[in-house]
Amino acid sequence: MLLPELEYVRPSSVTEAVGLLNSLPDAGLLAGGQSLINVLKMRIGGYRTLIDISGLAELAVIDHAQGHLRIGAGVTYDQLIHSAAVSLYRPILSEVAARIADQQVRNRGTIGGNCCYNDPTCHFPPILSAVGASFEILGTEGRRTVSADEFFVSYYQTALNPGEMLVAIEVPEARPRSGDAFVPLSVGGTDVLNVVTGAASVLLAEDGSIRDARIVVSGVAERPLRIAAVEQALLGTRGDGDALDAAFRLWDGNQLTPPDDVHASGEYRLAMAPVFARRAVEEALVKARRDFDE
Amino acid sequence: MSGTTVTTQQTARTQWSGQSIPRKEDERLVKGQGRFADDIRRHNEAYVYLLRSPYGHARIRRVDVRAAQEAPGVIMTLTGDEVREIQKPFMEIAPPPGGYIEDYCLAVDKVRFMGEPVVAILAETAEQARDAADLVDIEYEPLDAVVTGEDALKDTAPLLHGKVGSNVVWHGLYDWGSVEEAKRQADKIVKIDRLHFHRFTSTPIECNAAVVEYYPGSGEYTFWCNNTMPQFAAMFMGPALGIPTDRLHFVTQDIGGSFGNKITTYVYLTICAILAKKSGRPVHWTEYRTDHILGGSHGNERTFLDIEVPVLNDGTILGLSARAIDDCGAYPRYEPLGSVIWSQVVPGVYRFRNVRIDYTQVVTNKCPVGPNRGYSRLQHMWMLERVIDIVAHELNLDPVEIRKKNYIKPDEMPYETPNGCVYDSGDYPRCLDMALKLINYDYWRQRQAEVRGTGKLIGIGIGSTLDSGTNNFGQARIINPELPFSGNGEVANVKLDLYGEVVVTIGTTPQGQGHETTAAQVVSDILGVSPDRVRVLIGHDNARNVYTGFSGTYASQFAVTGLGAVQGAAQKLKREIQQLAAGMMGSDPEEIELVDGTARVVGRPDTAIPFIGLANVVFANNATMPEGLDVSLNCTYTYRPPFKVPDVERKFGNLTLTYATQIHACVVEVDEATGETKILDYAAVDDSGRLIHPQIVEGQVHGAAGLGIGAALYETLEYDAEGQMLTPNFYAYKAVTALDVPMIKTAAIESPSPFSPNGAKGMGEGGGAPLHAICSALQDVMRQTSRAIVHDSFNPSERVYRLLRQQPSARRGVEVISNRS
Repeated sequence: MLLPELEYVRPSSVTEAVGLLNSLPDAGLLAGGQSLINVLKMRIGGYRTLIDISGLAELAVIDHAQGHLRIGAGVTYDQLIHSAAVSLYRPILSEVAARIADQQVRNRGTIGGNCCYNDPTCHFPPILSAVGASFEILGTEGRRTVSADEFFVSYYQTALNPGEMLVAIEVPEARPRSGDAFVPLSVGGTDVLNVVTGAASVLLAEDGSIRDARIVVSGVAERPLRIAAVEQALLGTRGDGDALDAAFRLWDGNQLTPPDDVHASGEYRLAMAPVFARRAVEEALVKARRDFDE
Repeated sequence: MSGTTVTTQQTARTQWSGQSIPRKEDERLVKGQGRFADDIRRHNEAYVYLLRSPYGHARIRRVDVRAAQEAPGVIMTLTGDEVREIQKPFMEIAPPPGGYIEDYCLAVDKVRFMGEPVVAILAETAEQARDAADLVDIEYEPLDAVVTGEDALKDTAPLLHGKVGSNVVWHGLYDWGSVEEAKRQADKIVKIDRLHFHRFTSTPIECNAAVVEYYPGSGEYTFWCNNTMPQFAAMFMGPALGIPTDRLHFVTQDIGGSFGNKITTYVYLTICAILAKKSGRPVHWTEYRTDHILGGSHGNERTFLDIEVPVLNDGTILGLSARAIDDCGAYPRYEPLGSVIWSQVVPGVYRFRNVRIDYTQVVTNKCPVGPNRGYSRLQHMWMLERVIDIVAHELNLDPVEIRKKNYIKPDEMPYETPNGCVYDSGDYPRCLDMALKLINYDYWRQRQAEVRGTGKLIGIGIGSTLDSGTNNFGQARIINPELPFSGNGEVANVKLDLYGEVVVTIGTTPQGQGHETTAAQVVSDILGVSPDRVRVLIGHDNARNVYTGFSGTYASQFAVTGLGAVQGAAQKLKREIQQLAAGMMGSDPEEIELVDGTARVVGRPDTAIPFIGLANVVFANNATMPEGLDVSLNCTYTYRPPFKVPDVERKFGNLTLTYATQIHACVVEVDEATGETKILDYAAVDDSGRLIHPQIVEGQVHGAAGLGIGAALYETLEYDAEGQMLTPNFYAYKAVTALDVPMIKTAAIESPSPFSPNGAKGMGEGGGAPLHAICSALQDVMRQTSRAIVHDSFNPSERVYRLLRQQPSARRGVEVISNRS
């Protein structure tokens, strides 16, 4: 399918990009284009002007300082996979990036684009919610930072206001005795259309009990869902089968209205949510416990 | 990757045939030097965009193209109202009343499926044509849609084609042997309410495309295109355009896959022809993926109702009766040929003799179907394999033993089926044993018991199929006795060119099957030259290459018809070379042997005349032609398979020449909590008769297995009740990729066909064996749990999840009735 005719600008700095975003009519940001171009081709929406930020070097930087990774919004999946800092300090992000589509897509698609698209099948919203990422936003008023819980608002909606852009994602480095996991239910082949995704991050105390847990499931609500009741119930336990059974008994999906479409019924998604959330917790616990074996 | 075993049961090898020599076409293809339809450029081209219906079923109240005509770059538009004046409705294969369907290249008065072309726009650039489409104003009156075959038959169903009086395209009763007698003799009758074979397609990498030019000087249209059965297209297009079919010049070169899907593109080629003539410009049309999924060609969806299977207690199946409702989408086009083509394999690989199928084909508000890898037989053989597994399941019989008990035995070959088809050769039990050995059957049976209770379940499944190849087109008369077709065939020309080059021309349309290579192998063996020295001009070009009405690449036949023609032509040329060389050397033709591109007297290498010397005498020096000789070194041969016209009344006769075997076995692991199905092991054992090029055969085995696995687990073409297509792009239509195809273990045995000119059997379609094998494995999982019946050919995680949880009290859709107390 062919794109409609569009204006196209290629700013040379993030500041210029934000300026253009606020001065050009009906303008949108083009990063890797892996979702936006498809939407434009279908002519079901989109923009009259594209501001191409894919060449902005300042968005493509991964830094590590003061216990945090700062990942530029324009960092591609391929960069995440090959970043020594990410592999060292929060390896789950490389692992998740490696699952996405094929090499051509991973060369272009960006972590920022994935988050801003915020489709329920996207890979990064659930895992970034689980690892407690924060999102650095730049607008004409300056910079502000929001948590993942605040950033992902609803289907295809984020905390970005018109005229603002996501510039970086900050992720705390993994602590000793912690583990992260990402467990999706794909209805295609390998990670093709993940209708439900469980993501979890756990931190164990020195005695092996659970000190902190963040458990997220996506695909059953308008945004990645933290399962606070289950998280709470697991604190102080050893995360064994009985503890997980007891905690997941607190899962209550009755208030949710999951998507219901040709890929999976709402009923099935709802039934799968605790299954995949729990598998994510179990996998995260296995990883966290490795630090005790050493 | 895979371990190929070619057993010791081999036929005699010649120097070239039977070897996996490097493929001649690969160099240009891997270097990006292939020439596909969209690569063609003509001077002064214009571009076509097709505006398609957003509705499944609607009346077209008004079409206003004025604004589009004024848009930048627009040359002209074409609407259904104009088409009605220019084009006669395409021929229908069905007799009346199904034959009353009126099919035009653009929608006239009504749209009948989402994606049906409504307005064509021709512009200076593809972008301008696309942009202008947004300015077309169409007023639709939405109508109720019908989207399932069963609903289409209801009295209250909306009618797609009013003139027909119903939604039925074709109906026929197939009845052989005596099912009633078999039911009396049976110990038990297994009744299955409903089995559903879902809609999917084969997803060629290259979508449909064409560049079409009209030359007013001769009234000739040239179609640089990727249609894979051009003379079939011509048969529809000539009368529709009101011109002799010899004014339709097709040129195909490299084609990026078809699987049958590109046979019915004549509808789109007709749009291009009209635009090319009206505009005086060469027109360029290329589909995008969404166009292709919405309006290309889908596979047949089929529902089987009221299946009754008389069986003996030991598992011997005596026969089968069922109703079949085939959904061909909005227009029949190649259909209703599928309504007879399934009967090439009436009993599948089994021995039962009593069969009654009440077959109805209907139209629905969905994309028209077309031939799709395994066409029409895979639906039927899936049903047969489901029947075998369900009978085994209900009677607690072993799925391996019930197959072996009912398989046609190797010593019964050639075997005449209840409807007169003659299975040429094969050894099904041996193939099954090999497949089971490849997957390590005993190990997995043991593992299956061990893993129970761990949340994982293991299922082992078998799919036994046939790939019937080389159609007898006489079977079309069973659909419509008025059709003047029978037999089949292909024609080839083999010649020495001016400087002694060996050149082969043939009118087939290969899409990855390696015709250049295999044709060269056959010629090389006969003419004593290396395949490197044989130039093969493939592609259907009816101004350059020889062709018959059957020419093309479809229905698993090249190894028989194509290579049969090449073999015949090469043998003719060999005789001419022997005559000429004998005359030149004063020897006897019988004493001339062809070695290394020379003709020489047997045992006397010093007498050799190179091919260039022979060519010189014929083409540039013919005053030296030996006395009394009349040779051209330009030999054409038409291969004609030994077919008779079938008995239309009894629906009886040999409908295909060769029957290649595929026995697949697979091991799946099902996650009890989620229904996710993972393939742990997979084996495909094929018997394609004598193998000309084992690697090409194995490649097609892999391809067919991959497509089948995709269809079984991921790929479905879905519509909602209004006829809105829900899976129109690769986001939603989850086409299988290499990542999703497991390691496939392959093996081959060779049972030469006694009927084909070279012992080979047509192959490549694969009979949909993975669908059968995966359903069989899932049934094996249900045997350990809910005892639900696997009733659909498509089993994504959610369906498996539901089957696992089916309550014992739920309607299972199956019943066993004991005949004797």
